[in-house]
Amino acid sequence: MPKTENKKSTAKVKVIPIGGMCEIGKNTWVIECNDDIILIDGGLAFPSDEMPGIEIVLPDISYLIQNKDKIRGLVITHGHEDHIGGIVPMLKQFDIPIIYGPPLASLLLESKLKHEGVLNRTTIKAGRPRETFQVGDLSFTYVRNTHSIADSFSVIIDTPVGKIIHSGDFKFDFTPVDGEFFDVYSMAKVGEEGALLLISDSTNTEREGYTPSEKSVFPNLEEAFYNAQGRIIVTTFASQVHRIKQILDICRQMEKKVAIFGRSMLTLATISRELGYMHFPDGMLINVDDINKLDDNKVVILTTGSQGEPLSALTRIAFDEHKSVSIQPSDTVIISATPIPGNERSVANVINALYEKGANVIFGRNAHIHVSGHACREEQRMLLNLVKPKYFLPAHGEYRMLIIHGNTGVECGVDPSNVFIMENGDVLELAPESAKLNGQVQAGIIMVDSTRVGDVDEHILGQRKKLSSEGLLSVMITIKGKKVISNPALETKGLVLMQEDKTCGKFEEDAKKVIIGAANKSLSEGLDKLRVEENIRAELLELIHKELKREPLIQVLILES
Amino acid sequence: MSEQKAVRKVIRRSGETLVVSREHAERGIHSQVPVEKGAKIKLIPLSGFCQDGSVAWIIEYEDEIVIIDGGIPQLANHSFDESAQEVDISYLIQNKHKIKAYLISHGHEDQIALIIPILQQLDIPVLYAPPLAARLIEEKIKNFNISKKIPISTIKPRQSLKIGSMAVTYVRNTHSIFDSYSLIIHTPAGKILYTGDFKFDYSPVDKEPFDFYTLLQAGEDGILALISDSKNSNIRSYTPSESSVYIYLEKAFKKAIGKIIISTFSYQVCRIKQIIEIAEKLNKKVAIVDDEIAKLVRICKELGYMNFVDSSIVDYHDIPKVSERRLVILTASTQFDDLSPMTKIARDEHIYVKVKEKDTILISALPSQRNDRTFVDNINSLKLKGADVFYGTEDKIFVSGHGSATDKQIMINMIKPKYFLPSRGEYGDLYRHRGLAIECGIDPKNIYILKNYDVLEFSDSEAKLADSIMSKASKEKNMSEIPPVDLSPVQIQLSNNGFLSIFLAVKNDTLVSPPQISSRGIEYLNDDSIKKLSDLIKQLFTAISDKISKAEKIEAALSSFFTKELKKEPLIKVMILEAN
Repeated sequence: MPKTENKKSTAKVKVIPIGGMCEIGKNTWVIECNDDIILIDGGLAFPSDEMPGIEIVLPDISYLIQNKDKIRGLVITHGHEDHIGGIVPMLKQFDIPIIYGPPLASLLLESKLKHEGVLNRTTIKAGRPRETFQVGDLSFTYVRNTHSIADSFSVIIDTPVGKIIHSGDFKFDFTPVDGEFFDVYSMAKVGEEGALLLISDSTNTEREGYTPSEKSVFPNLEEAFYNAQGRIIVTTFASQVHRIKQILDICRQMEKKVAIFGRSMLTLATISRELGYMHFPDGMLINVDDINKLDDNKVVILTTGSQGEPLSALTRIAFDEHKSVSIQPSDTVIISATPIPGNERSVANVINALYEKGANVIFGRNAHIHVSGHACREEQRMLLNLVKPKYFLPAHGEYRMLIIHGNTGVECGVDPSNVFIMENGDVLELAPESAKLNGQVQAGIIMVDSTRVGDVDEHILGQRKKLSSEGLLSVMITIKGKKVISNPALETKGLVLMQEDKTCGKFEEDAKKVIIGAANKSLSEGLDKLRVEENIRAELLELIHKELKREPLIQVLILES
Repeated sequence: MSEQKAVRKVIRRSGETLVVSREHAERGIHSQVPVEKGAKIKLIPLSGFCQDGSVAWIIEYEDEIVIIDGGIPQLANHSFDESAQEVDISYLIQNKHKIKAYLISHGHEDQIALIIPILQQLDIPVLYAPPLAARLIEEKIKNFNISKKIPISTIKPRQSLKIGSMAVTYVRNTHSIFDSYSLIIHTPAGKILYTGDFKFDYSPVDKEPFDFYTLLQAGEDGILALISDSKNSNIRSYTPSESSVYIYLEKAFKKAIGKIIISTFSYQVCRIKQIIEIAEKLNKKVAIVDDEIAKLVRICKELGYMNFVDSSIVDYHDIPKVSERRLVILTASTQFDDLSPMTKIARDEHIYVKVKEKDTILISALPSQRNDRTFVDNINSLKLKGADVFYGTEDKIFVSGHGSATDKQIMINMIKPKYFLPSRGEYGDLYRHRGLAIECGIDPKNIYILKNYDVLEFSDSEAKLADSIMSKASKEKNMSEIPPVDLSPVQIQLSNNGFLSIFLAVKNDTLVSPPQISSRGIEYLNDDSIKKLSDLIKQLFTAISDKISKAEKIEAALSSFFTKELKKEPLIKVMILEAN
């Protein structure tokens, strides 16, 4: 057998999601071939309700750290945080020789890296649609798609075993706001030449049909603006570049002045304007201080906070906690977003508060002022029909979405045994004639606190959850030698030690007995302080569990005299 | 590696592997006609604007003409000959020496019916059609006793054919019939994409996907003009896949207690395939009570497009032999007019099908606007008989074969033509289609909404309307025609020409008494002519062998007799009564 032939048949490519599977967020992919790794995106995720006090969530990148010498480059699909927000933490651990990105994403990343002082650890190169780059043994080509941000690309990776198509985030918008169409031809072409694997966005797979065009919100937003009598406060996702463009277009057309609240939104508007993706005259943007100097009907406040985030300007305004803006009855508040699952309550609270203060609030599905940036099921079918992949890997979605999207793949002609439902860290091994799941690498989540000091581990998060649901009991005892010499002091936070039929004092007495008993026993056995604490905690917990049916966090403090 | 790429590629279909040579795959794309500067072509619609059920185009370059499709507008209660006169083919007759080829996009009546009058009056050098359409045309020619030899050539997907100075590439699309194609016409002025009828069906019943690649490759190379199907442009959103009705039909079949009567448009071939599949799966027998459907099913089986066991289909004579629980009666709802089998069933006038309580009636069709009163009346009477009735898009047992607004925009987006011509539909549809194109960035100046017989002359740099080719005769006819505003054609016919009803008593397929003829508002009938008429009816009764639609056929024959002999058009109703 000829040598090249041999090499080809033994070639293997590994596809590993480090983040983004069975969840929405922190999209990070490894494409590995021999000694070369290309990363596709490096994202962060936003915390769920079950992560109190957490600001952002990052993927566990141990696998990348172990293999940092293999990393030849990183390819960004588009400039959203769940695709570029995890790059700074990577660069703090290792260098990345080159990062390719669409123009807008490149500039957004550059400003981020500059801000964090890691710009020197990589080179950023902006790529154009249909441009091909060689990265180690692999090469990739950008294909323009349509999404809620300008410059969103899909990626075709050419590997020795075949072509891998990574959809990135997409929808098929046939009347795109920026006039830049999805390059459907390149997709059909790769389908014609033969596509080995399609990795595709599952976000809206539970919805039939097509997602309406971003442009469809324009007339409704415009109407809301025209109907407003006084000031307009408008909010959307900071990531919805096309929406922000449309809002600014309406403001320009109506000669309104705009104050932008929220650093991310301001950065985006500034960079998009530099690139020519948004157009507004110099004097159109104003500062907070200018708001009160202008007539109410000239003022638009564009703000973050569409998800009812506690610290956002909109939430503070709604609850009268903002230092310079408070709601007047003539205000119109436009919420051009839908709550992400989990945020419904917070958003509802904000809307209630706004109504209480007399504002007119325009929100919700029936107002038709929001559309998703992701493909619904019919569009997912369309991509499958264009690419006709041999293997199909639904991505960017929670587990049930991956399953549904997988079924859609089968409906469109993919062999059921060629659909792979994967979890983060799973390794898909591709050969020219086969594909199989083969092992796992380390993957998981790293939670970063609001203070951004250190990583929060599962243990700390567990304690936080316990604190919020079960409360805290702290116990203080003084010992001398191997004996307890003080009456234990008990203090509670968020925990009631009273039972219906018993007095508080009775329980406290029992608790103190248990504490002294456990302490003396442990001390007499010569255990160290930590173990003593541990035993007291265990005994006490048993009592509380028995008597009160609760499991508070118990803190034991031992003083030696 | 490049060699390996060049030789072949594998397209996966349902379980089978189809190997297509690269050469074959790209043949369509390489056979381009060089674009000449200043070359002018003419696009002329013969039919399809504000006419139901028809579309026909002529493409003319210097002294060469290519005809694309051709239907005959559907007029309620009109005979074929009457309807055929709606399309004026005198321009083709005058220019018959220029005709190079006749191209058929798919086998629906809207696309193939006009072939008959054309062949009756003209010679066509070659007729290209997809396999199913070719077979249907052959049958048609046989039925109309056209004896001259017609060179029908069957095309293959992606096949390119040279036609004089022009060429055509066939691109598989998805629609409600198998073997449906869009056509890329390569002309010296540039490429024209004629979409044919289409929707984007991502899980087609025959597992043959829309050939996006060839379509998009043409879009990439540059399309001068797009002639696109406008039907359903008024419907927002998209048209669901044909296969989406499967689960709803299956559910209804499973729930049925008594017999099932299902009607669909006879041209919804993909639907018919699914109905037979579901019946087989549930161990039911299908009695086809419609000639047109029976013919389609027979031909589809021959071509391998339907695979059912022969015993799954029973002759309609054997209906009484099948237990009701296992019986599915498949019939047509072509138009919801007086002649439609569904109307007859609802009015208890059908010879073979009687509705009973607990029967399940599935109308997998939508009424055309004109007859929707009849449609509603049908539903009323069926429900009164105690049957379970399901119909239309609400019950999800019907989807259209034509794309809606989103499908239209996808097409425009993929092709990005310079000139855009909405085609086939009512003006409401055409103007809505225009709006959709403007949203997609097509310059409004370059969108042309034509009328039948208009001539759009254009080159790669400009387009202009030239004189219409409508013949003098048609023009006069058009001028004198009073649009039927409130009156239905039936009412007009009644008031202008009177009414003739004929009762035939029949036993074992023979007349047991002379035809009973009664008339209203027909002053020209005397005893002598009634006798003549009676003889004619007897002759017709024995001559027409088709039992199901015998009454209709006698009606049609009598109607043409009146038109020809007496220049009158009375409304004729023939009723056949089985004597005991």
